[in-house]
Amino acid sequence: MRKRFKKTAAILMCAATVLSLAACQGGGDQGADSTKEEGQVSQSGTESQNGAEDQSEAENVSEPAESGEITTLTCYFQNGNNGVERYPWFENYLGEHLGIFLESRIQTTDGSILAPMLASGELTDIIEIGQKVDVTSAISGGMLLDLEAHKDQLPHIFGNEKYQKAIEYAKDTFGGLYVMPMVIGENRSIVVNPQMRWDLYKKLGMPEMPDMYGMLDVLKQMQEMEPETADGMPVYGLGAFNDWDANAMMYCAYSTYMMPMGYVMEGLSWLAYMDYDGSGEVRYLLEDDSVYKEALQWLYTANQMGLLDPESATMNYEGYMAKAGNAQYLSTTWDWFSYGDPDAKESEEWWGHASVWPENLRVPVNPERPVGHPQRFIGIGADCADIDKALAFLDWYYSDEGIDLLYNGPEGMLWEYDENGKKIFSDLYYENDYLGNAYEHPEGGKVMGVAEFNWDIAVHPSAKTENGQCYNLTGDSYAKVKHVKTKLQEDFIENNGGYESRFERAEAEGKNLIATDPVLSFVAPAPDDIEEIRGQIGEIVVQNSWKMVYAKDQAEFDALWIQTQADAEALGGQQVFEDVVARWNEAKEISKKYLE
Amino acid sequence: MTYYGGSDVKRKSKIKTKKSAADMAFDSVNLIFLGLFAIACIYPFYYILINSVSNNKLVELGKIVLLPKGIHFNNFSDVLKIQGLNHAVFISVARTVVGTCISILSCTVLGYAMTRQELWHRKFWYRFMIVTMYFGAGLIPGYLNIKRLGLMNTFGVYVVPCLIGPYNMILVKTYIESIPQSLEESALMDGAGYLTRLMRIIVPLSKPILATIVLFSVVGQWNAYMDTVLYTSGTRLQTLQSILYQYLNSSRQLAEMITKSGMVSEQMLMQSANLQSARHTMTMVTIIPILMVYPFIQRYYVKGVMIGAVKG
Repeated sequence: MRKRFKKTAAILMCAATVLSLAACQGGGDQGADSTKEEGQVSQSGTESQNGAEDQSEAENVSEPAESGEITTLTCYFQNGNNGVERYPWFENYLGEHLGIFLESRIQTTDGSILAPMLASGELTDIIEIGQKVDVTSAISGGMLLDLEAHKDQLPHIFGNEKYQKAIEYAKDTFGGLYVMPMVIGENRSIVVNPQMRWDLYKKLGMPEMPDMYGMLDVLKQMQEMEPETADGMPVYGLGAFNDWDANAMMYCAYSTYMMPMGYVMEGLSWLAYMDYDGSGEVRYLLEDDSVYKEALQWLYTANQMGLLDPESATMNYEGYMAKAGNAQYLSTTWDWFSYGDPDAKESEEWWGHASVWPENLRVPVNPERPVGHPQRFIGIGADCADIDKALAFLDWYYSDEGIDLLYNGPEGMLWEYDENGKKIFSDLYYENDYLGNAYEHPEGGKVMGVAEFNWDIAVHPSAKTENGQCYNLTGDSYAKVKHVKTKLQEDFIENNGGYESRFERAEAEGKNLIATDPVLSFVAPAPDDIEEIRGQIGEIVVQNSWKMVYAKDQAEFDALWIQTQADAEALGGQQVFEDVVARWNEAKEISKKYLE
Repeated sequence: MTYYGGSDVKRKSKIKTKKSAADMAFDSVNLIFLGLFAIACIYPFYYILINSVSNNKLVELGKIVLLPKGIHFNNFSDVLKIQGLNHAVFISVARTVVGTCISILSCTVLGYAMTRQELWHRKFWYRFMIVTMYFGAGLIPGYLNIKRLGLMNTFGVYVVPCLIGPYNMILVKTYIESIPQSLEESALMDGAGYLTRLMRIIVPLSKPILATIVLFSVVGQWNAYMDTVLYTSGTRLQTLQSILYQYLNSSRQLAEMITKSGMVSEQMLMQSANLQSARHTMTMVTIIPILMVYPFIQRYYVKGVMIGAVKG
């Protein structure tokens, strides 16, 4: 009995020890993790055992995959939301056509993965980095591959005219082409698109709205017509939410008032603003006649009129979306909320929302970015074992074929070519009430929008291909040739001068739009000490902004504004503003070379 | 055997101690306070449960507070269809079982060793481990350490770092010190070695404390997700908690993108809809196993911790 116990205990302890040691087996060429049907999988050397100090590099570097073999490449996309593994059909496609399998790291919001990777001296095989300072750190640590040295393997990048300025910019900024900028080129879309209840607006006789206060009057009349939803929930003119409050201000004041009025704050430390087209001066957010104060005044007025949702101060974006989707808001700033019964399928009359803009709006149009987005860069890790495969992926990623697949899915499924050689949506797309973009591929994963694994890719969805169609077909009017318009849409088009969207009409009439100055892409980030001050001021501004919106009277509103100005000044608000102005002037000088 | 008069016994059993007004007041306040505290502890679980089985639209609007409405179980069937969930469950269970077993073994052996006066520089080694409870190296040194040990993207990253928990080791050590030395001495006189004394005398007597650290270890292993995020890639080692983390993280990611880059992608914004129900359901799926296990071992919890703390 005793001997048996000893023997059993010894065996168990040995097993535990062996298990621990076996689990400690690192990556490199020891033990393939998974086997694919098409061939043998070889791990890349990213997870090598050591810093290559004690082991020879030959042990950790697997041979480049021969044709038929599938190579695993680790990837990290800082600005994505879903791992590539959520799209099995896409993984199969990559395996079949490029011989690679992408294994993604989980994205985090705070860069908590990127910092350790940079410290360890080894990045993933494919990496997307947001901040220029991180790119610089990676380059100085020798962690990124010099793409120019492999120019012949990147024909879709170096051979494409639209990427040349971005390449030049990256080389000037980082001393070499170690990363490629993303979201390059055209971006013909509007930043915001104010919406209102079209059916109620029509019942009121489509009154004119000379300005944003005129819009409040119209919303009040609409609210009196429909004070509750069908399920008894209160209806408000508009709502707001707090979880996008940027480091310096109440985001909804910006998105609901300042943006449609043509003022931009992004890239200006959130404590300054200017006209979107760069025509005016950079102005301090907290000056006496600030447009930000006007925005808060407008929201205060809306609240006094009973139009602002009283729960806004404690509501997040998802709560806002839920209420908007439940038709509790008569107006919204964006146009993707889908609610109503535009074809009167369940109600006697059609109802829903459409674009309605006050006369004095200057809705900003997204800028063309010839050098790409200032916070999106993609590169290849220097320690990638199979550089050829990684370069092949990167080249494909920037090719028209790759962009097309990422946005629209494979040909013949949700889209097809018509007799003119142009892309149109297939019948399958129009099933499920135009929710074709949620269609699941038989092999698993959504078909359209695979690009979600990395929110923005080489070009913007609205950028045009050579045949004039948008890369992302959901934004292309020709592709929707089979689209049967709803009764609401038909009515809207009839009253919108025959244009399908308010944006198209504004473009045709040449008014109510303002271009975004591309110089904004060149503004450098603020130094750490300025960021520190900005953060402190931002907390006060955000807090007092909400108090001002819900102030009981004008006296309280004014007193809070004065207090905010004084507190910001005491913390160094002017210092932040002066830094913004200096960086803006610097950006103007730098951009001249690329925007000629 | 002493016989007590039956009537005396009956009289004594009927005698009740009369409580004073102060006692009654104290009991009432105590009951109310502890009752509220219990509700505060239980309500979050209840809230998540009713939101996971209620009408999704009402959940998005925040209207499910006390009672479920429009009860359905579609959310659970949808969650169970999540790709890779079965494998994630397997990994979570595997790391919990293997990690707990190895951790218990290691802490028990080390705790016993720390009780041995003859251990070379016992006090130094003991303090050496205690210091790690107060000072952490931080994220980056931890990452570098894991990388240098060759644990990146391996199952060992779930098991090896948790091998020794100083707190668990202290509990075991303190408990063993409360066991009468005479038991070991008698075994020693009979020729028993360290291992024999540990396995045949100490461990059988230490079941309460071992059950306690089993509980700690199981809960810690089951709830851990950051090691998956930091040290693994792909879905091979993905755990249930890491899937939940990705769901919970999505709206925060969105807010970060807006506030940092100002770039709004319509795809991101549209995808944010209808995540509340999925989050509640995922949360239920991850906590149900622990809720099922905990009642069976919680009785050892208080007893074990207190026994470890109180000597004599």
